[in-house]
Amino acid sequence: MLSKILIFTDSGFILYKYEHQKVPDSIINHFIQSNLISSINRSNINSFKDNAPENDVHDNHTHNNESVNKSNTDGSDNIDDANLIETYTYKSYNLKYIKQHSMSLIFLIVYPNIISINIKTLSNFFKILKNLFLSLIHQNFNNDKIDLYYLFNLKNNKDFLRFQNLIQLKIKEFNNSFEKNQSPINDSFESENTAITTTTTTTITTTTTTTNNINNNNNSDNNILKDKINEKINSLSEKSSKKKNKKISTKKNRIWGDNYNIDRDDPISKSLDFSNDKDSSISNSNSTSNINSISPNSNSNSNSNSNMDLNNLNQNSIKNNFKNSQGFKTFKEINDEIDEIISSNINSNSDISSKNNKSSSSSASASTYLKPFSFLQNYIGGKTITNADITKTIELLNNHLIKKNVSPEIASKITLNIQKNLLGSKTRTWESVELTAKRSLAEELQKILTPNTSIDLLHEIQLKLNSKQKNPYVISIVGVNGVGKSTNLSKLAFWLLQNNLRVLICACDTFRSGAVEQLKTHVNNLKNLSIDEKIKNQIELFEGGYGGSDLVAKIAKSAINYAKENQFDVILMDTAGRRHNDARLMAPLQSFARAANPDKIIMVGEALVGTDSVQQARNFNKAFGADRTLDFFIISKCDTVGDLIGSMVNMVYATGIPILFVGIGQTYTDLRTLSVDWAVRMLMS
Amino acid sequence: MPQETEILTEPAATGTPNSIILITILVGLVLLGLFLIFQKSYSSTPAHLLTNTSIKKNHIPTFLIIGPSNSGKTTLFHYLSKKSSVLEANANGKDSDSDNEANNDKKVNNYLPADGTVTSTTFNINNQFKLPLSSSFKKNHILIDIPGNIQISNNLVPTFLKNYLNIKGIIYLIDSNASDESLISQSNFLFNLLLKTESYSPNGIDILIGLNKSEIFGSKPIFKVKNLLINQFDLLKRNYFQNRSSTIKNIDTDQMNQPNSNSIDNDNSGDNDNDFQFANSSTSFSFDQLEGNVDFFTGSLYKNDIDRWENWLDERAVN
Repeated sequence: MLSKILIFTDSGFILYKYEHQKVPDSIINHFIQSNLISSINRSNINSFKDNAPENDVHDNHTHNNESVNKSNTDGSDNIDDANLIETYTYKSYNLKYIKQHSMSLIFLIVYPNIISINIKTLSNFFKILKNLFLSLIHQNFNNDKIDLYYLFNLKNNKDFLRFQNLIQLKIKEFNNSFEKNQSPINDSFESENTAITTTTTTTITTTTTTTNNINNNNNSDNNILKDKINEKINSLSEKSSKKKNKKISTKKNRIWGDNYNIDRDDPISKSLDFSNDKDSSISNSNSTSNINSISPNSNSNSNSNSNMDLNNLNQNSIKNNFKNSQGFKTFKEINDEIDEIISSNINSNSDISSKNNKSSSSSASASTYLKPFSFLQNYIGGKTITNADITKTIELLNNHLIKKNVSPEIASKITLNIQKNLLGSKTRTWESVELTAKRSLAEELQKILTPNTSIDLLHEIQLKLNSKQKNPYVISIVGVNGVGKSTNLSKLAFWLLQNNLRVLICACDTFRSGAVEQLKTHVNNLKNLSIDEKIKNQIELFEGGYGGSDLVAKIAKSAINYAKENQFDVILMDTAGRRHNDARLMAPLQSFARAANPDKIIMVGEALVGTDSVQQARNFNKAFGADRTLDFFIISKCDTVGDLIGSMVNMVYATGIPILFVGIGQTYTDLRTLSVDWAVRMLMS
Repeated sequence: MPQETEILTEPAATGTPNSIILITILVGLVLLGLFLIFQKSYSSTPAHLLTNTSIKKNHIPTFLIIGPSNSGKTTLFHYLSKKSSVLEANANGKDSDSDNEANNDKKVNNYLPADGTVTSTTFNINNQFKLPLSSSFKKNHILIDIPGNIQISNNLVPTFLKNYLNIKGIIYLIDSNASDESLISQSNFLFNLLLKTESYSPNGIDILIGLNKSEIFGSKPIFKVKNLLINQFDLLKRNYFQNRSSTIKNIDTDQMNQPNSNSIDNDNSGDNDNDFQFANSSTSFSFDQLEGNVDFFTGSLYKNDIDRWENWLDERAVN
């Protein structure tokens, strides 16, 4: 059973809501926070995807090959949608969503964890939801953006009400079939195949039995169902008999309507396209008999009062078998109507669905050839970006990022994301596709590098000091060997001293010879910076000699006690450098984090390192146990790399942890806060 | 035929079609060349890429809605936008074109979004925001709702402040049921916002701190929130003052800069002059020190009880 279906915009307005069970808002909001806003979790999405192998291939290669291979069995559009579906699991819910980038819409389905829904079933449902919504509502939207005024009146819009009715019936069908533990759409696949090979009548009988089962199983649902059916019939009967004829003729071709990719050369599907032919197609004798069986019912319903109808229908449905045929017809009619709407939309509005669909994209490109000066669109803007346009540009951007020292893994993730976002959107005036892609890369980088938490360390220190317990603020520094942990620690100490804080430096590097002496030198230097005697007492070194890893935790604990007794404000803990891929060395970090319980764990990473920075950041982030992560990065040696500062992107993207400072030299004052604008400029140059 | 021979025999004559063709071709080539150069130079400067796509310089009076996530910003945006559009439609005497159903809306309080909202990922903008709500002499304003996510608002707020040159006021929404901790973490953002608004213009920007969701039992009264904020600001102000003298500078102000970056922003130098008054004075913080007015009002969107906020908007719009 589906718990919730939402269609909402980027800007936070819900356009359509279906709620079967209450799903806490916090779940939806958490989903948006972690998936749509922060790009960090996006990197994990692949692992959540249901069809892991298929999607991985899809991610690494171009879209077309995949979808063409699959399109033999069913519509290629369908497969494309299936691949676009992304999954997120939070608490006891599965959230599946697809994004409609050009309109900035998100279609979201929520259902409980314990249910497993076939990806194919789901993608079909998504496709119906999306296409139906777009085809009914789209023409009312201004360009890409949803008009505010339109938003206000959405609920009163006729097309919207129509959409609501249709989709509700569809959901019902979906849920019903689900309780049977059998998906209707899979059924329909079978039935569709038979329909192609055998006659129409056999399909009808198979589907009739399906609906028979549904109705027998769920008598309670019948009342609601009939209610819906009634609405349905009323709306249907408003239509001209012409349309009815056509609907019957569609029935001949397919029953459940899963194939929206109508080849326009196919004479049968042409009959669907009522937007083009004014005259109804001639239905054969078989289907006319069907009309006769339907139309008396529907006509009588439409003529009489709807309330009366409801009663009649309900009584009928309880009493006799008539309900089955009625239910069957309605389901068919829903699907046919949905089909009809969508197919008409496809024909009239080919660019919506043409994205990766082979047949329609070829026709779309043909239409662009017809337009003179269409080649100029690349320069003057207003061009709709297609896959072919963007693939090359994306490759260029990818290489550009890699040249800037961004690891290939991260670079391809960032650029793939841009590709997804740009597909189907329009370039702005006087902009080429390349420029558009560049701009969205700059925006993406800016988004990645902008810190997602407050990086006002001083304020946090003060908050802790002002609290009732006079505990010192503990900061520990970790990192790989030789990245400049001790140097940056002393820079931090210098900064804290300037802010009138008493600093205790704790030498927790008990491993490397000379580590304690190095810190001692720094402390002495810092003491001698000022002639003021008072300043000299502001900083002290706490040392415990050299030894094994058990010693580290012991030193840390006693340092905290010492700081408490002597009213130090901040403790800076230096740790031994360790290789991030050596479990033996990384394991003690966990016990250290438990013993010292630092308020902030800062990892020093150097800008010089390349691809490995991703793994460094990830491993250190994981090293402190399940409920503790890094808090900040300090990126050292930025003065040595010029504009190749890609490792910043690597580390931030891989972990989502902000950069506190960057180190740009050897002296105590060579510490800077990161300017995101500056970094993006460097990366884009 | 005779014409053709004329051209062939006398090509040098002025005003002949031949020279016109030549000139046109030349002009065309020059234009094409210029165009390509322009295109190239345009695309090679990364600096302009940073300015957010759809945000351009603007002089229309503007109101911003800022605040943490889940405080009701998008709902307020919807409420105000819809109310102003409905009032506008009524004032014009014509039925708002959405058939008869719109009449039902006019009755009461259907200004809230019908299906609620979810966390926004981009800003909302209403370019046809007619103020004041209470009078019939309406002027066009812009209303912008900025998402609460810190990452996004850190990006967007400075951009809007830079490009919208006539910001009349900021509505800062707070969920009045929020815990002390979350208010404290908000104070940091709000303080930085104040620094920016103070340097925005000589008079600063007026700020309304709206305590939303006051209908819920246990919501914080104004004085509690105000005191908490003042205490935090006091702390932050002292920090800020000290931090000024200490050494951690922005890397952008360094010599590592590219020469072309000077045009981007020199926020730091700008800040130094303008916020002198309120940050450098040694007294403890109070809202009176600010150039812009800061008002606190409770309200409840859920109960349609936001008259005070509307009045505040109207006052700013009239002045």
